[in-house]
Amino acid sequence: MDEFNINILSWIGGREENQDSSGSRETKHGLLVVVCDGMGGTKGGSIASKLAVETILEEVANTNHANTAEILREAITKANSVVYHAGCTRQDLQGMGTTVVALLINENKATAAHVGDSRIYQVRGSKKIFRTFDHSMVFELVKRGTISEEQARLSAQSNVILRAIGTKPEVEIEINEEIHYLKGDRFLLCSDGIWGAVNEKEMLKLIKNEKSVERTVEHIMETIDTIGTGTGGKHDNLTAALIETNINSKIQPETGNRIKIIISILSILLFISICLNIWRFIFH
Amino acid sequence: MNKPIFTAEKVNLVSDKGERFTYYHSEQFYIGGGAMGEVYKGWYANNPEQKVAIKKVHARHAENKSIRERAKFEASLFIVHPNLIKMLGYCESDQTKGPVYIISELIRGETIDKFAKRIESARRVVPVSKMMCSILDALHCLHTRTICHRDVKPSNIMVDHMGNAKLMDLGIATADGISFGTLNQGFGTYPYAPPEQITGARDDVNHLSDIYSLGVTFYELLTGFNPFYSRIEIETVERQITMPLPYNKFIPRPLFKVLLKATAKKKSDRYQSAEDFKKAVIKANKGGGVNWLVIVLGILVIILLIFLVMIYINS
Ligand SMILES: Nc1ncnc2c1ncn2[C@@H]1O[C@H](COP(=O)(O)OP(=O)(O)OP(=O)(O)O)[C@@H](O)[C@H]1O
Ligand SMILES: [Mg+2]
Repeated sequence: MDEFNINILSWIGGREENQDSSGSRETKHGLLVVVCDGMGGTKGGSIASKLAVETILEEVANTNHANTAEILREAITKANSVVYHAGCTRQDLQGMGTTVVALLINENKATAAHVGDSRIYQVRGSKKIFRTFDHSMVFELVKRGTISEEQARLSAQSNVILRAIGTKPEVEIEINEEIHYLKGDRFLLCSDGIWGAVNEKEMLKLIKNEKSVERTVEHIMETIDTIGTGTGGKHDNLTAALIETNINSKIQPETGNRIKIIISILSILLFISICLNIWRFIFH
Repeated sequence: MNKPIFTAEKVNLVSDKGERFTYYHSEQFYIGGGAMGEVYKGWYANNPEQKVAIKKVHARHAENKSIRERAKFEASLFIVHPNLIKMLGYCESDQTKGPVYIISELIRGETIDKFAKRIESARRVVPVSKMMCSILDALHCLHTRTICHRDVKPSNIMVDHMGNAKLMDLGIATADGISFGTLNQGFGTYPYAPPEQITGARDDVNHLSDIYSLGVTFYELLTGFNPFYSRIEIETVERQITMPLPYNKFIPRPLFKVLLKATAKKKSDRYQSAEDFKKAVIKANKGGGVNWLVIVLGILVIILLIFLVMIYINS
């Protein structure tokens, strides 16, 4: 039995071209999954995202690093310079760029990295365990408490991002190094064509494990494409990669157990005190 | 803005109306540049004395279909109004790719912020108000034709050598395509953008957004600074959503109240038309209210003094 099940789909939506790219690869560091959402020019967007995905898959497969965070950092930095230089050499590719979201998962833990507004969600049942926070203007406003997340999603400026791969010689990458998981957890990597179409609650419902991984991704795509068609049919490209774990990660949060012990002790104390009070009430 | 790399070549253009224009892609004829493109001084090929302004849309935008359409739309607007720049035509060598040029009348003058800066702060109210009223006329003219400008700001208003204010650049800078999945390139419009342009859905932006932007522009021209601007862009955006217009001593109270209303965060709290905004400006400025009071009081005091003097003389 495999440790992870995975399925990836990428659809064009209502656009003339699919500028999203995605890919996955078994490496000696674990299973690597990458989703990129390109932007710029007529051809630039799709070229940028393809270049980024290819570079990251190659780099991670061939590196000798052991630290998963460093592996992802190095690979994405490389992808940035590859896309940046490609953009500098051809006038029609000038200014092209792409978002990136990457997950490197092995039996120990998962490591996530992202730049821009493509996302990762980790879901247990229909509960959200982890998510990435977009590098976008509206999300910055959400963090500051100026607007709500739902307002951000519906804003016309929701796709103005503050960081991207390939638009500058250097890039700042956000990495979540140690993500623990339990058997049956699901990780969804997706472009904004997916999360932009439904609110978070609906999203979590779509991800939850009622159906097989295969079927779930198909269902997500069909649902979102239908919404897009129903609202004018000019909707964004949509890409979803779903990974389901068949094991518990070897590294598990320790604090979790400690909290459980503390809560148990507290509830025992509470129980005793209630009993004592009832006893006093009855006998005095 | 970085200056473009000049090739010094002579460029010959034929507009959609079949007219021929010429300019040199050189520093000598370069006027300025913004988010959308570079502006050059050019002329009618058959009459070099008749000058025009030629805006070459940036290559990276020219590839964008919706921006192309928008540029075409802008150039096709044939609205004659003394305070609106006159559009002369649109040039492209190919319908879908290659450079795009927008031809308009050449305005001999300067942008309104430069004009205002040359006047002492305390004396700006009258001339600036007069020009803002002209721009409100122009906006009203656009709005009655259900066109929104969407990019009202000082650099899009010029004052010609006759002292006439003219509104330029019909909002191609906020064409759908630019903010579409793009990296934020600091288009420099946030300091004038109403909240709905940031948090609203696409169709939340309407003529009331122009009212807001003009309110901010007005304030900046009087005080010399943009009230919402911060070097940290996200702070600018946050201020547009939450911060009311701060009071400034260079703006008379009644006029400040008008600007406060024009820049209300909620669209329904603003003036509902450019005409109403203009009327309120005129009323606020006429308001010699305070001066009349001083004059009446002064006269009373003088009469009183005369009385006292007469009583003194009589006694
Ligand atoms: N028709 C014109 N006549 C004379 N000068 C002009 C004309 N159009 C533009 N200019 C000058 O060229 C400069 C650049 O104009 P442009 O519209 O490209 O940039 P901007 O207004 O700064 O930004 P944006 O692209 O957002 O409108 C203006 O500031 C103005 O001084
Ligand atoms: Mg302009």
